[in-house]
Amino acid sequence: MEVKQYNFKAVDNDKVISLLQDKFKSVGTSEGNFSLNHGQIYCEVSKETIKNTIKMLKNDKDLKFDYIKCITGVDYKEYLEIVYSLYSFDNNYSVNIKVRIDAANPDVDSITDVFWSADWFEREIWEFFGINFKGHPNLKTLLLPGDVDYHPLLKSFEIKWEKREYVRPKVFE
Amino acid sequence: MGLERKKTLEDHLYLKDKFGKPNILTVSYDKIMNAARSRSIWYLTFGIACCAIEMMATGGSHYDLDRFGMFFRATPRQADLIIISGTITRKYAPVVQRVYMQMAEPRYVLAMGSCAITGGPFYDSYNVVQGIDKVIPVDVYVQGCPARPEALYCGLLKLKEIINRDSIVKKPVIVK
Ligand code: SF4
Repeated sequence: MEVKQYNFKAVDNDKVISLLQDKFKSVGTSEGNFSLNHGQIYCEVSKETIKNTIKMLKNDKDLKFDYIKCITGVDYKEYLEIVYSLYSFDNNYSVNIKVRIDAANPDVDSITDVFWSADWFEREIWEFFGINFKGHPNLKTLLLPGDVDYHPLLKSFEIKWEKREYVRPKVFE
Repeated sequence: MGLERKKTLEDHLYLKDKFGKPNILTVSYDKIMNAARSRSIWYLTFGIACCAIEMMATGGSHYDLDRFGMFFRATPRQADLIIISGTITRKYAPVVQRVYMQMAEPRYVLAMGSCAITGGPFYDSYNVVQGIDKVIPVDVYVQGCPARPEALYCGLLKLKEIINRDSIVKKPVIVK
């Protein structure tokens, strides 16, 4: 069996950005609004095209973003945001895709059929930020108990004393 | 005396000489039961958060809880004591309760660290139960963040005192 060698490759961020821009144009999924921040490439795309964009980034022969590092939710009060951090093992570079989401009507397409490992990330964001992932196969709470009716990582969330009381199950009454 | 050899009259006479009287111990039932129980507290293999590391250190060879007759048991059916060593989240509390219910009576609970007593550093959180005593009754509290092995010793020796106070005549008082 041949063992694949992973050699360290220096990454030229500007080259990656221009490559990504070409790919975005050829596929025509989204324009992509690129920026460079602390050595990380950020790219803002629209909510409607996110699934196709991620699919393109994964399946493209040159880019090969084959690993999803993390999906993060952010609350900016006026709007919500999701950051998808993708990584390419072969090319040793990563990209962060940002999606802006309406706070009043928070929903986005699930990417579980592109990356299966996005399952738990999306469940976590769903319970902590209340963002509904359309097409997710198993959207239930991951870290909170099943009966919660609040989203604790939203800026508008306040802890109420009644909510924090532990309710004893019937067995102990 | 060899195990194989039949006992001869001389052997019996030797024993009679040794004790002077027939080999009978007169003691109250409580005393001998409690002496046995308090010297063989088997606690559950059950660690929750950072305090569990300190609990493992206490059970390990440096601090060596084994010399008090205390061992980890891997099943609640054979455990006398459950050490709550960490933060109890709201999702996890029913699990702790269930494990506690599976233990045979008499069973004891030791709350270790400020998390298990009041919620500790995570007191003001949306998902942390403020003390395990809201879920199951607690016998001994050991404070600290984390509690040092010496503190855990102190708590376990306190538990020994509690067990020595138990009696088969009176039912143990369950504080609600
Ligand atoms: S009391 Fe401190 S050391 Fe113990 S579980 Fe809580 S945070 Fe960790």
